[in-house]
Amino acid sequence: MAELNKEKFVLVQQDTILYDERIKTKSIGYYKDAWLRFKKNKASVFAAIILIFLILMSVIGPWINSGYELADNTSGIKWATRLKDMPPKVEGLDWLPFFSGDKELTGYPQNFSNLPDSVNVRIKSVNNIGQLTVVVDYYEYTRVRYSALIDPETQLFDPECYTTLSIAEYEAVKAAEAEYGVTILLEDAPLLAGSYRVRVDYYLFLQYVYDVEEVVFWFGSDGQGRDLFTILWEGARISLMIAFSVALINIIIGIIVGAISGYFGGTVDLVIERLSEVLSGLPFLAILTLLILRFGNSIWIIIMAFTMTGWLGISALTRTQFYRYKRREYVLAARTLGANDIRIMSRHIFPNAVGTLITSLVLYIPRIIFSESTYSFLGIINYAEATSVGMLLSNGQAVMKESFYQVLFPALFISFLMLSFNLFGNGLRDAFNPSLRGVEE
Amino acid sequence: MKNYVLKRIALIFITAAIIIFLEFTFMKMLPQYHQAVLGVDPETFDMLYEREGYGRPIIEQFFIWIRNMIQDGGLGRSLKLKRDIVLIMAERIPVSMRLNIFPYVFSLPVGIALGIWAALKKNKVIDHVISIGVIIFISVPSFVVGTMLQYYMVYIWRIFDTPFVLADVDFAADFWRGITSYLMPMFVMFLGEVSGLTRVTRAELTEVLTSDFMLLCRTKGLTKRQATLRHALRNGLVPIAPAIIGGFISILSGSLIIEQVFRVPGIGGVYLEAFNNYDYPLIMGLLMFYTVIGLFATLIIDLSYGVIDPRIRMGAGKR
Repeated sequence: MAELNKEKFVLVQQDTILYDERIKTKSIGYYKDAWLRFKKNKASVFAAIILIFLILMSVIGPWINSGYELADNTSGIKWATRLKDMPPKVEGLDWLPFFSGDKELTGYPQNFSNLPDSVNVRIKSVNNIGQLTVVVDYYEYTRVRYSALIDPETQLFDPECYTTLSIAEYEAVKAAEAEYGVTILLEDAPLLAGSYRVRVDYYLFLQYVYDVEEVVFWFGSDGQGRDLFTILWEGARISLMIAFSVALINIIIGIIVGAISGYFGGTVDLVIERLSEVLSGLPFLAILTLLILRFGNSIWIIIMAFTMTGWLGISALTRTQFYRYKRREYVLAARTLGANDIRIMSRHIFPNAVGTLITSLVLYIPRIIFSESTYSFLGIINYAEATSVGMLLSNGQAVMKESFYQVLFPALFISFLMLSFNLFGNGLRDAFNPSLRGVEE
Repeated sequence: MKNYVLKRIALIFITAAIIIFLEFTFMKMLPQYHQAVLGVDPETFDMLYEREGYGRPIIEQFFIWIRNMIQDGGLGRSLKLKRDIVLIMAERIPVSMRLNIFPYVFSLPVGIALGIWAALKKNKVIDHVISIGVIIFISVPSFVVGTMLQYYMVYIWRIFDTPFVLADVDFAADFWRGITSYLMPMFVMFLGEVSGLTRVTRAELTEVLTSDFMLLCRTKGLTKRQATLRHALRNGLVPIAPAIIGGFISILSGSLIIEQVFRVPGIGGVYLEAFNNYDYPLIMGLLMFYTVIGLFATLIIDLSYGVIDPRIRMGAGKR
C-alpha cells in the first residue's frame, strides 16, 4: 500500500481564479427560434417571397405601365371606350399565343374579306349558318376599324371610321402634323356645327393629341377601355390596405378588451362577455349592408363594418390567455414587488400569450381579404375610389366567353394572394406554436 | 341537462330579440326608408303611418311591428316584388336547400375519409398530395373555382351548354338537361366542403394518434386498425361532429356566392336583389331570417357538444 502523507496532496488550480465558462453559442430566444424553424419550411419561405412581390406590385404596379391614362382623362374617356376589351399584348412575348394581341371574332365572311392586308386574319372554323370564327391581330384590326374600314355593300368607308373632333382637338392634330411631319388626317372635312367629322389614323391621333405613347395593354383592357394591368394593381392595393388596417384595428381592440376582461374579471368581465355574446349573433352581412345603405360605399365604412364585430374572436382568445396566467406565482411576485396592473398586463402576462395569439391570428389577414373580395364580387362592396379585384372578376365573368383574360388575371391574382398568404401563415403558425417548440419531427 | 337546454333556449330568445331590435332600429334610421316604404299616395301614406306607428318612440314602433307581424302572420310586403315576404321565402328557400343538401351529404364521407387517410399516412406522399389539394381549395375562392369551371366546361370543352342553372320552365322541358345544369354549382360547393372537412379531420386525428392512450391501446394488444377505428376516430371526431350538425342548419340559408355565380334563384339571390333595389322590408325580413338561422346553428352546435362530450355538459353553468 502506497504511503500517504499530507505533502502529496496539493490543491489544484490553487493560484487561478475560476470563472464560469463563456457560452460559446449564441442564445436562442423565442423569436429567433421561430425564425429558425420558419426558415426550414421551404414552401412558406417561397410563399413569403411571392407575397412580398404581390404587395410590392400593388404599391408600384400602377406606375409601371402608366403611359396610358386615357380613361382617367375626362376629355379622353370617350376615346377610351373605342379601346375596350382589347386582348393582352406584351412586346417581346408575342410568340406566346396568349400575349400576342390576337382575338377571336365571329361574323359573316364579308365582314372580314374587306380588311386590308396589314391585318392578319386566320380562319379557325365555320359554323353551320356560314359564320366564320377568325383569329385577328386585334390591335391592327382596331386601328383599321376606326380609320380605313370599307363597308362591303356600299364600297364606302364605314361610319365608324369617322371621328368627330372638337375644334381644340382638330387644331392639335394640325399642329402635330406641321411640327412632326406625320400624316394623321386621312380625310379632311370643313367645320360643321362646332366640330369636324374627319377620318384620322386613330393610334397616331391618340399618340399626338393625348400623349398615348403606344396602344399596348399588357393584361388587356376592360369594358371601359381602362388598362387592366393598372386597375388590377390599384384594386389590389385597396384590398390589401383594407385587410391590413382591419387586422391592425381588430387586433389592437381585441387584445385590449380581452386583456381587461380576462385580467380584472368580475363584473367587467361579465358585462363584456354578455355584450360579445349579443354582438356575435349579429350577422356580418347585416352590419355590412346596413352600414353601406346608410353611409355609402367608402373605404372607411367598409373598414368600420369589418371592425364592428371583428374584434370579438380576438378578444375571447386574449381573455382566455390572461385568465390562464393571471394567477401564476410569477405574477404574484411581480405584484409583491410593486408592479402596477398595466405593467403586469403588458410586461408579464402579454409576452406569454403572444405565441398563442400569433398562432391563431396569422390566418386572420387572408380571411379578411377573402371576405372583402367575396362581397365585392357580389357587388355589395363597391368602392367609388377604385375597382376592387372581386369587382373586376364579376365584370369579367359577364364577358368571359369573348374576353377570358378579364377573368383570368384577377382570378390568378386573388388565388396566388390567398395561397401564398395561407402557406405563409401556416409556416408562421408552426414556427410560433409554443407546443411545437423544440419538438423535432 | 334539461335545465341547461332550457336556459340556452331562453337565452337565444333574448339575444335574438336584442339583435333584431338593433337591426330594426338601424333600418328605420336609413335616410330613404320612410319615403320608400310609405310611398307618395296620401291615402296609403296615412294608413301605413298610423299602422306602423311612425312618429312614436322607436321602441314602441318595434313592439307595434311585432304586434302587426303576429296579427297578420307575415313579415310584410316586398316593395319591388309586390308580394308577401313569407311567400317569397317559402318559394326560394327550397331552391337553396335542394342545391345545398347534396354537396353537404356527399362531402361528409369523402372529407372524413380523406382526412383519416392523410392522418394515418402522415408525412408520406399521399398525405402531401391531399394536403396540397386541401390548401389549394381552401385558398382559392369559390367564385374563382366556379368561374373557371364555367369557362372550361361550357366554352372550351363544351361539356355543358349553359354556365347557369336552368329555370323551372326549361327544367320541365328537358329534365336531364336541368339536372346536369346543377352539377357544376354542386361540385364547387362539394370541393369547398370536402377540403374544409379534410383539414379539420386530419388535424384532430393527428393529435389523437400521437397521444398517450393510443400507445396504451397498442400495448394492451389491439391491432393498429382496431386502435384507430375504435379509439382514435371516436375521440378525433368529437370536435368535428357539432360543426357538422350545425352545418345542417346552414343548408337553409344558401350560399350567396354560388347562387350569384350560377344564377340560382335561391334565397341568397333574393337578398342581393333586395339590396340592389333598396327593398327595405324584404332586407329586414331576410336579415331576421339569417339572424335566427345563425343563432339556431350556434345553439345546436353548443348543445350537441354537450350530448357528444359529457365533459362539457358537466362544466355547464358553473363559472
